[in-house]
Amino acid sequence: MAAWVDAILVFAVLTNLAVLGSSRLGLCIRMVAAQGIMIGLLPVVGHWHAVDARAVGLATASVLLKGFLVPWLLHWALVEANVRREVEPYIGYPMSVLIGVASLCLCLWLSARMPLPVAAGEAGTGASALAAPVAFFSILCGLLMIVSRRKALTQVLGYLVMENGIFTFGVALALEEPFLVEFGVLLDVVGAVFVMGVAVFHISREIHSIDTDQLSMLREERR
Amino acid sequence: MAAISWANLLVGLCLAPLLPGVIARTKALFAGRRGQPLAQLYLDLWKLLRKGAVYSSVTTWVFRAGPVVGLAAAVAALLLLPLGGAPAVVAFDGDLILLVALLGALRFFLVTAALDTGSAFEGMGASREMGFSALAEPVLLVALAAMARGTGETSLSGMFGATIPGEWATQPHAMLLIVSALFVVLLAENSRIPVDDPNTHLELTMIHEVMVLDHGGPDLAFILYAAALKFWLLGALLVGIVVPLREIPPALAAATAVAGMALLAFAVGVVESCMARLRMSRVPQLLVGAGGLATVALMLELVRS
Amino acid sequence: MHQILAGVALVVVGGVFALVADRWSGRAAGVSAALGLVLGGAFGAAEAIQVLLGVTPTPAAIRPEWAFPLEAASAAMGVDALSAFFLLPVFIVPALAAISGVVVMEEFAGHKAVGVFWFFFCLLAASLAVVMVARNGVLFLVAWEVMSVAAWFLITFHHESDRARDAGVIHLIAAHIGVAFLLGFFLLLAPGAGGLDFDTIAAARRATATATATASDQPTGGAMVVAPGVLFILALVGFGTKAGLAPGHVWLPEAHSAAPAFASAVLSGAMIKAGVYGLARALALIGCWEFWWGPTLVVVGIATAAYGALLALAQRDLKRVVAYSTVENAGIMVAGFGVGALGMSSGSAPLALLGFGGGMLHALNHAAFKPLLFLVTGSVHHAAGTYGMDRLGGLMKRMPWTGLGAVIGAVAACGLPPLNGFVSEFLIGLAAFRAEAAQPVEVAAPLVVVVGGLALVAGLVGAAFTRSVGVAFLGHPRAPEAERAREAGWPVTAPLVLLAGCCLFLGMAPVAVLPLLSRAAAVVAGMDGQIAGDVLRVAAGPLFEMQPAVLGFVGLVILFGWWRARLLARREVRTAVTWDCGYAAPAATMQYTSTSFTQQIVDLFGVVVRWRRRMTRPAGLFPTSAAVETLAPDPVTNELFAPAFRGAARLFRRLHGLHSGHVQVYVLYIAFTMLLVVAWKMG
Repeated sequence: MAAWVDAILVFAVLTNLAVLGSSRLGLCIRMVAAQGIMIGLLPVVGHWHAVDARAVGLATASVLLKGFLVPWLLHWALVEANVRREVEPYIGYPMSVLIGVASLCLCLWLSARMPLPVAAGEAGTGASALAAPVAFFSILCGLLMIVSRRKALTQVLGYLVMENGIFTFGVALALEEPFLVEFGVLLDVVGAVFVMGVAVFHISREIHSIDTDQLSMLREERR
Repeated sequence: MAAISWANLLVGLCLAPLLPGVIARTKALFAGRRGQPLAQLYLDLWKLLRKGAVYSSVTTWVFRAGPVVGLAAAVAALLLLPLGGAPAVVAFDGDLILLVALLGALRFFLVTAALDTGSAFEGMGASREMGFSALAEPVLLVALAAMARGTGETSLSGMFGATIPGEWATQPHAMLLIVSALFVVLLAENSRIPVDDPNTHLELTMIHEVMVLDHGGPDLAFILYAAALKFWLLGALLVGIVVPLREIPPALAAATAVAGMALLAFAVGVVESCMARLRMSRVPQLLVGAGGLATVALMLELVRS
Repeated sequence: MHQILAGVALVVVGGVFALVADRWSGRAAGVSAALGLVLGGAFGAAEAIQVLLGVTPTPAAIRPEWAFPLEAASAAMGVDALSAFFLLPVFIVPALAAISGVVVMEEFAGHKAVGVFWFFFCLLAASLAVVMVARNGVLFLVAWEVMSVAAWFLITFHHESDRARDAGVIHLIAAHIGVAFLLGFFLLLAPGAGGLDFDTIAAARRATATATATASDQPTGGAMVVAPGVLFILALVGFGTKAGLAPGHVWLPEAHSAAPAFASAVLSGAMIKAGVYGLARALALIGCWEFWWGPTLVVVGIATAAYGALLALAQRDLKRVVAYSTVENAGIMVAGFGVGALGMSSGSAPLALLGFGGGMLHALNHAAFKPLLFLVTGSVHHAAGTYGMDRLGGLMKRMPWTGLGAVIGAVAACGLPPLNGFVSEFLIGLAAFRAEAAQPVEVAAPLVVVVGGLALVAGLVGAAFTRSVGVAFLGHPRAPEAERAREAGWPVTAPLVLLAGCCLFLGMAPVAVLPLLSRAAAVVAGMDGQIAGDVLRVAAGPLFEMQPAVLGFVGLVILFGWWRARLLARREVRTAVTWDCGYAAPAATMQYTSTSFTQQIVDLFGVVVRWRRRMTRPAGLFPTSAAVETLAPDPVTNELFAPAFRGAARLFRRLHGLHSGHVQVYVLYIAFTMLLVVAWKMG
């Protein structure tokens, strides 16, 4: 199954790059949803020989949440808030992709030097050599999206991508009792996304924009 | 070995003009038309070679050098091209650098020839051609670097030789990524949809076609033939990866490669039928994305060892 | 050795004569300087070639006693293959540039100090040669300083313009910041070695290196207290500033565009090489290789190359395009050195020799095509009175020789076959590809940067030079001055043709240069010349197969040209107006301009290059005028150095209070300082 795990990880890398390079909000949401589904399958695919109920439960939960529920919510916010469906980045799309590729290099280099609990690529553990770098890469991509995009919706997406990274790290490296942590993070994210989705909706109703730059008008004026 | 290499070169020289015909027929099929004959480009070339020439009074020798140098560069590049696993006529370590540089020389002289006419339209095409190929060239080289890392070879003939099936077995993801990156390069460098629409009749939206507006007669024939050869060149690289048949007699391998080329032309025709041309400002995104694919492939190859 | 010194002396004599001859006529000054440079250059270059070919068996060296009040100083000089290799451009480029300069300078005779200019021109050439042969740190730095000051006189020749004066000041500041690092480098190189002669230093460093190797657990003795890494950084910054590595490049485009074009040819063709030579010499002197040096050089080199190419793309002034292309090429040379350094630290001699050899061959190639391009811009300026591309156009018809030179120089600068720029980029690319395919990840990963970076740079430079050639030389003339332009005569065109010939030769017969290269590369790698020659011949083996392929390409060009001529021989060949899609009244101003050609691609890299647009919008129902102007100032100058220097100025303004103007206070300062010194010495 190692090849399939690798395939999922490569897919995660590609969707990350696609989200960085795409200008359409709808496409970004679909990409993150697809990534969520694929990453959600990791607990089953990665531990094929010892699938237990917990793994299946985690997979189902995360696929449902990240692949369907959250994207549906975001899509609803997109439609309801009636915003322009452009991503509106601070950094241009080609440059974002270049930064993404550069950070992928950085992640590969870093994780080659990092003392990991399971030796990467070791036979029999189900841990892929790519797992750690891809996990870090997803986290960095999420950060980059949060930092470099104007809209609140894209920041939610960035948050989701980051969560996918953490999830990958936990599942693919088969840490001690990973699923417990996972469920916790998953719950956090879902809660956060709900709050943000609702907030985005209300903000857009109040100030007719979900541009985070506009939020700065809410701060206290400096004297 | 030498005989099959020369035979393959001859196959390339003879069959390259067939591919645009295949693309056109595919598009006609999708549109529900009969379409032009498969051999249309041969007929066009034959017609053009028998014509005289009209040169603009603004132009200098640079304009006349463009088609000649372009065709020479394309033919010289064909000498370096392996087909169906058989080595090329000329093969040495690093020959891929020469191949890319020859394509660069082709572009340099075509673009300066376009600028020589002093026409705003041709200037526009020249600007776009240089802009997009500046992005496509690194993609091609990074994809080839990934191949070099995977196969441990640094000549095209070595890279596209016997090791390809093994590569598919050990690194399928990387190979898939390389193939997709090379496909984008093929579309961009040969001015096909979604980068450029060769059939458009609005000069403002064209890239390659608008550059050669002022060429006619044998010059245009040279340019059309060189363009067909360029498609053959980049296509053969792609087919060399996608058709991993190596344990068969060289003649059969060459035949499968040619069949692969026809299929590739068909695929390009399908893409052209199903997609619209991208907005000019979106093309760099496509190319940078292809660069991302190639780089990820390279990373995968580097991490493996 | 003596022949080279005689050459240097001839050059200086030519310069002194020029100073004197200026009293009679400006032309005499130019002729005597050119004569000195040509004769001296021929003398010197002849011996340099002999040394490179190994005809002179042992590198001759002399060590005259020098009455200098400094123990470490001596006038030790010598020529090894590395020196000889870089002496070639130093002797040849100024000679060729001077020939075309004689005509260019005539228009200033009488109302400008032409004699002084020629004197410093010769002094620059002579000091460059001394830099290359110096075998003592003090002598090296003295010659280096003379070089910088002489260059300043060339840069500020048009001192009536603000830009030239600013360029001169920036050049001096950059040169002296560089020298500060070099001073540190030479002082820390081998303290306790008993002198600054390169031989002594090398021996001392070898001794400590072996001592460290035998007793690795003990701290090294007093001789080698500084980590090699510190020395490497000092040399990289010091020499890199002169070579034009970003961000220390900021002086270069200013200086090159301010000086007369034929002087810029020397600045770019020869003086930049002093920085490259210095870096190579410093690496050889340090004598050990740490792993991180290779990746550092590679990244700095490729970043510089890409940056230079982008900025070249954004310029509208022909000469600034060529100047930024110098930055780009310096980056490629250093990237080649980085490949070599990776080879040294990973113990692969072929990789090291290919890297160093490729970098140095690129220096030589650059010394052929860059002066060619500068002389072309000089010829254009002489004929049309402007460097602005958007006021030129259609020059190919009016100045065929200059136009031919421009096309050849541009193809060479783009690194395309069959010209010389391609050969060195091929060697560097070959080294990178081979090691990338076969070496362990930590060596392969930096080389990936070289492969991708060189391709990107090639694309950007291609756009920059097709644009320069296309806008300035092809199409319709855009302004009356371009309409009137004519060739200036053989003294201007002959050097162009000679340099173009060099480009063609180096591009089509690179195999002939390989033996010269191996000895020079061997010095940097610290190998025996003979062994290095054998290793490099095997490593650069593909060159022997590439050369016929390139010749075949040229043959095909001739064949197809002949075929078309035959096809058209008995047919009607007409001349008509440009088709232009049926538009009947095309005007010259409708052509693509330099900025419109590159706007699309420069906009992509908007993070690096910031356009500055000045626009007058059309207003009203019947607008009478509208204008748009785009400028691309150097972001490093504007956003790094300008704030830094403003901050420094603020800091120093605080010291202004000490500067009261009363003599009494100054006496007090002096007395106080003396007191402090005495107290310190006694205590």
